[in-house]
Amino acid sequence: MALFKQATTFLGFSIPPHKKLTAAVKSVLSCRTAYFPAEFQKPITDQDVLKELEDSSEFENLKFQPFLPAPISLNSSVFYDEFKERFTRYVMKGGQKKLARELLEKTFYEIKKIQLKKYYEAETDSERNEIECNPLVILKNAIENCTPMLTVKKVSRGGSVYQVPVPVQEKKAEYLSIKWMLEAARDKGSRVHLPIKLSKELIDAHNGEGRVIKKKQDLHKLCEANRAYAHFRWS
Amino acid sequence: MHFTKGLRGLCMGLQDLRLFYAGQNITFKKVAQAGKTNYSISSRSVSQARSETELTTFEMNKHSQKAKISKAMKAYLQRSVEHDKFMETKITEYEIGKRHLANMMGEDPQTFTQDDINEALKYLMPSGLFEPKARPSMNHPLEDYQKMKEAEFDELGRPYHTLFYTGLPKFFSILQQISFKAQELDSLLYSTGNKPAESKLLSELVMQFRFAATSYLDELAILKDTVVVCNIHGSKLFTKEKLEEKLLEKISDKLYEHLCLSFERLIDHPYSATVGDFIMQYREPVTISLYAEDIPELMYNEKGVPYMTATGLRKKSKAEVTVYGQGSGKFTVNGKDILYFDSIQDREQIMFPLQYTGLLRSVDVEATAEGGGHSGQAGAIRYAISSALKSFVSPSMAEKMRIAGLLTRDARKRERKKPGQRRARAKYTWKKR
Amino acid sequence: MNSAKFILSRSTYFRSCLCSKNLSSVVTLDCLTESNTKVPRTSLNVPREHTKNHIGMWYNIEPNMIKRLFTYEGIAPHLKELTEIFRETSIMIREPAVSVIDYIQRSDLSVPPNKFILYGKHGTGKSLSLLHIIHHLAEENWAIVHCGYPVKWCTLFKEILPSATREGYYDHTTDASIWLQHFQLQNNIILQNPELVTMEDYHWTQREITPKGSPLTSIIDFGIGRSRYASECVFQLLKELKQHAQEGRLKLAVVIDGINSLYVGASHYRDTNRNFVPLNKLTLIEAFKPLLRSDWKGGVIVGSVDIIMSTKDRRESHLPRYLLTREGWETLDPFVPILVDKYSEKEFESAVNYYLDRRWLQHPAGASKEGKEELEFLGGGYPGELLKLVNGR
Repeated sequence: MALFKQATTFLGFSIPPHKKLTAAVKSVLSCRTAYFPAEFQKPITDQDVLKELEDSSEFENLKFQPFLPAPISLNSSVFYDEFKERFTRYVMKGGQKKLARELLEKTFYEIKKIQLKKYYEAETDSERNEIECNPLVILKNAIENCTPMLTVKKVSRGGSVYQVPVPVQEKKAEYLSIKWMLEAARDKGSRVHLPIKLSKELIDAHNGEGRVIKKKQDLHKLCEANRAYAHFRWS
Repeated sequence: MHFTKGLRGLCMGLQDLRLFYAGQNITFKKVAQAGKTNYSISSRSVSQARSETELTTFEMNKHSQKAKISKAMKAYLQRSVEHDKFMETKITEYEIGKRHLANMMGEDPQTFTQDDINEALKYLMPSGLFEPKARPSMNHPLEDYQKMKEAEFDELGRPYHTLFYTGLPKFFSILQQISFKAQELDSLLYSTGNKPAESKLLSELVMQFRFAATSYLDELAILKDTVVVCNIHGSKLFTKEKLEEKLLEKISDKLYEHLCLSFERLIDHPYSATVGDFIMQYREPVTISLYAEDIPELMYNEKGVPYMTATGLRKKSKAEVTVYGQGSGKFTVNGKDILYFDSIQDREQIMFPLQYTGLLRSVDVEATAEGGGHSGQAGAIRYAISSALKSFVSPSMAEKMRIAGLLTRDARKRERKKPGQRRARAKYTWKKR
Repeated sequence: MNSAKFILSRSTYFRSCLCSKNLSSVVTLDCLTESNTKVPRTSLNVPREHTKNHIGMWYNIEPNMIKRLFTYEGIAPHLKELTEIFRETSIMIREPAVSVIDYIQRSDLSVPPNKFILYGKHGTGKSLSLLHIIHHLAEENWAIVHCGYPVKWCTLFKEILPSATREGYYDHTTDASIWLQHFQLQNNIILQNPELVTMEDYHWTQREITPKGSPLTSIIDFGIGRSRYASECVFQLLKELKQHAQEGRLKLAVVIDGINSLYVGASHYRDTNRNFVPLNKLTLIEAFKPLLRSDWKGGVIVGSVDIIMSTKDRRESHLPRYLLTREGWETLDPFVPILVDKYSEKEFESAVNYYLDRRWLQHPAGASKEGKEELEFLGGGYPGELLKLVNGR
């Protein structure tokens, strides 16, 4: 590190420290050998993204950009959904992707069953319009409704530990939401299968009720209660 | 002791030959008066000097004291002499061997090239070994043996390069050059813009450029017409290994990172095109991915139906696929239909290239798959179908397929189990005691 | 469980709008304001009127008919659930069923029975074709001897005991009495015929006797009441029916979904020596076998062979000769093999549109041309696979 500092001062101008590492550098710094050098980029199948690139000047440069092989879960099907794939991975245990997919498909089956029953029992058009029957929409909506905005972080000041409210990153928030949802669905001691439990939890969350929503709201209440300590985040 | 004296001598900045006396102080004047020297070793090459017998002693015309060379210098000289001797013997051996080989093969020794040598060895000593490096070969010693750096300092230990004492003179000279070029470009930036207000804005922008996290090109809207950024597309910076090979200096990861960042900053400069030559010196071209020659032409069977065959590999699976044009979307694998694959994910993988190119209903696919598991077989079939479909689609669509990752062979395979670990990565439980 | 007896005239039976508790109320199409009009439906609810021109169209079976015919067995559980979700039981009119119905209409009942065996890969629609055929038989007042899933008597039986009446045989108790209830419900009207009486005395035990000349329903009631003798009741009942058909008092249709399961493998019941009891020692299984022979007249035999009904080591081919084994082949030969294949393009389109209409295929891309192409490719065009795919979208 000392030599590094020497070199930077010797040069006469300093490199800003927050500049991101280039791909070439990453490949040097990676300690494990990978099958593909770091300059390989993730593949793009989305037609909209490709169209954007085509219109911009970047497309010419893509000629020189090598691409990683498409992973086994990626395809260009009209039914493909990135979020659904991500959710399946959370459901998966022990590398059993096939089972995870089947469970999610059964969950969707159950959701449709419940929602269609409500739909056909509804009497007016307006009631029917309110009922969402698309399981994918319900899944996305449910997880979105359960994502927390703030979380608490333990900070010790003067011997005592305070719960300091802290904004949570998007990715982390989504992770928490999915984790809570699956925890609620996998409740121990329950003889009910995951698809049935999960479908009910998802529908509840979609409607803004249920255990998982409550968990998020409790967290938010805790953050609200501890707003006095918010400044501990920085001091 | 001698080394520090040498430093002191360097710091004095004298151009004349210096003499180092053990434990004695020579004033500046005296040395100047010492006058002519018998040897102006700095002007001769070291090898020439070495060939003479007076390697370790110097005769002074007026001062009869013997000069001693530092141990480091001695060791270096010894090493380089040995290396040269070694290389000489090897080269002579090589030449003799070449002549013998030429005689054996009945060829003219004068016009016996390296390719001829390789062929001769293949004929005379055929090898069934798998690794090419293990087979018999005879290359020129300069290729085979590691190059040694040329003399970096003369006998008195006085280095030639100003940056010698950094330890990596050539590397740091590149960094130095980047710095100088950057200053040059900055001065260009200052010089453009005649109005004082503009130049003030420019100087502010230059400061921003120095410390900005993101690209500042949007902010330099006034200079948009004059911005000439060096075109680095189609090239990439030398890899660390290549740079080490070129400079013959061992570069640490951190220094290489620094070099990369420095180059990036230089390239980001709006006028970096003016120093484009310098930048391209350290970049090598990247091969453009899909040449037209890569895409084979369609074949036609006796009925005039276009078809293409391709093989695919994935993990331990191998697939051979024939894609027929003028089809209706049929798919068979090992004589069975798509229900050969239980998992819908596998079927989606096979469908991927066909659906992406829009040829789902236009082609028929006949595949055979062997080895591995269902997932590997599906991946192999997907790759084979993509390779075959290249010939059916336009070059732009083939390029899109490459961007979608369909035309990259997935080289990942199962990582082996290591001794002392439970599996490839999982370790046994660590017990503190 | 005693089923309610519907004592209604034929015309009101099929046209009444009774709300049953098991199935939800009949929903008219008016309720679905956004229904996909591309679903080809036909209002012809009588299978006799279905012709080749109706292939690919959907027709609705009245809930009462469903209740009468398929309360106990006949519709697979997952399909039954779907009918509850869809609020209707509709079947697509397909070529194999139309052909068999036509052949049955033209069958000569004065000669040994015509045998129609539906075969095809798993998930092509054999069971649903049989559903269509059974509906036709019921509409045409045939007596139906229907076994929906014989495998459950071999492997998933409720209780098997050594036979009370036959030496060396084994009887099902609950399963047989449930089947008798199923038979009774299906053939309620037929059984009201006063000519259908027993031809001999049946001494079940020393004290329990069904005398000669009593209506056949007495055997059925006895079997339902005394499940210990239910298997024997089934055996004797089928023997009686065969005799009555021979003498022309009824038209007898034997419909078995999975005939090959009667001839292959062994049951999962162990005798006292811990050996698996072979199928030919189970009374309930043996009861149906005489009806499959060609030594009677006055009826038809319709069955299906499926690879799933076979044992796990005998699943290399879906063809009848392989699946029936030697015994089955010799019994059933000669028969008319009817191939049930995957959807044609028109049928596939109709199926997807039906799922869209019922709001089962929720994904918006499912209605697009690309989506349908993908579904066809992924499922290979098989009806069963299409359903699996649509279940999760």
